Amino acid sequence: MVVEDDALVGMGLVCALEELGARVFWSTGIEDALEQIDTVDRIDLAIVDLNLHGGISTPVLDRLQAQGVAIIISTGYDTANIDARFQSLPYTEKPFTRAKMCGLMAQHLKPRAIPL
Amino acid sequence: MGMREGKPASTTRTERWLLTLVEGMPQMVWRAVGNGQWTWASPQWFRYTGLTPEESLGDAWLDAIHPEDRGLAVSAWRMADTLDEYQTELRVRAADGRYKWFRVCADPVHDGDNTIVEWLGTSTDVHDLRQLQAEQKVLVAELQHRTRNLIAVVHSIFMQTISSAASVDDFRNRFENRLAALSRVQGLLSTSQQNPITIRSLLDLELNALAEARVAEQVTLSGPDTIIRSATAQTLALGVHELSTNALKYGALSHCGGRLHIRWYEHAANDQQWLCLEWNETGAPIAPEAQHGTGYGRRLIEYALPRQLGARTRIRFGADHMTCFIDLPLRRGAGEVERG
Repeated sequence: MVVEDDALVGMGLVCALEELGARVFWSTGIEDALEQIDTVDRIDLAIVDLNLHGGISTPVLDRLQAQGVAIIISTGYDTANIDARFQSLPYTEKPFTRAKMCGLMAQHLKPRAIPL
Repeated sequence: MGMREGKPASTTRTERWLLTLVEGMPQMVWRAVGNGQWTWASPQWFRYTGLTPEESLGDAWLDAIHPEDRGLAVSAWRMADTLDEYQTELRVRAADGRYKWFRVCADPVHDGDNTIVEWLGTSTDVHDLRQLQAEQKVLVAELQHRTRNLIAVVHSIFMQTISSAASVDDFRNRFENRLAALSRVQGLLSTSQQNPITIRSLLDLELNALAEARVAEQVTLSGPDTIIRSATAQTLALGVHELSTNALKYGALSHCGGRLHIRWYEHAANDQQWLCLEWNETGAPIAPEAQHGTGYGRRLIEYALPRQLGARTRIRFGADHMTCFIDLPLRRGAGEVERG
């Protein structure tokens, strides 16, 4: 799952993930993302932009954490903005290279996501 | 100078000269003994605060200091003897009840034994300065954010252009053109505070850059001067860039007989104002490649615009015509913050 409010950035991210073989759901806002989390059957990984339309994506991160989804925070801001609750989550500053994304995914994807 | 009850009868020339200076300067001037016990204040203080001498002298002036800053005022006085100066910034209440920031400084007057006899102080209005500093901080943070976002956009365009490029030449061409379009819209954005971006200015800019020679003969534009939100401009401009490139390569602008009609209008639906843009190519065979292009343009219009901007889009192809509708909400709910 990708949560990113900028269409041009989001589109690239979705593309890159699809090229890696993922099935990607893309949300651009907090409400949109919360709805996706509730309707999508299983989310293995969420890459979440910290700032959505000027708001902080805290509700999205809370919901994802409650459901045990692996999260990578992406941000164009300093990490000083990150709420203490999410300080331990892996984060990456935008833009990130494919290698960095693959690295983070390999590190944080939970085992159930890897087909046996 | 020295008397708080008006000017004494026999002032010397120097005293009159000093009094004029003290009462005419923009700063408030005051005298104090001990740890901030005021003995005198210039008329500027009484005018600004609306207080009487009884409400100001001694330590009564503390009452006009913002409650959050009183501790600061008192602690600076505790340090003053040791530091041989008094310096702090605090908010002072004006006669109308509002607070403004002041920089407060005082220097001690010593007698022959180097003992401090009294303090001479000034309070300078630094409110606008502090406000500007705060705004500057916000602006610098925003600028940093936008710079990073722009790099992320360039990176994203790079990734998608390279993944669908047929050759290095093809990649170079498309990538350069997309970067040029992105740079053109940055130009519009940089002056959007003074000149809000209209849909017409965005279309003109892109079409003239790509197909200036053909615009006069083959392109018609009609619609009101609708202003679009600057948050919308970047994505929409790249969408228009893809449509224009496609028209030039495979569509109406690839033949001299082809026509491109672009018309737009505002309409209301679902409690909000929409801008509907119709892009119509006719009169020329549309090459089959137009339907696929690199896929980037169609993806941008059919997939990304609806997601980011809440737009409704539709693209239709015929043997000799191509139509693209983009229906764009003009204003979002009150909760959304305009980010430029």
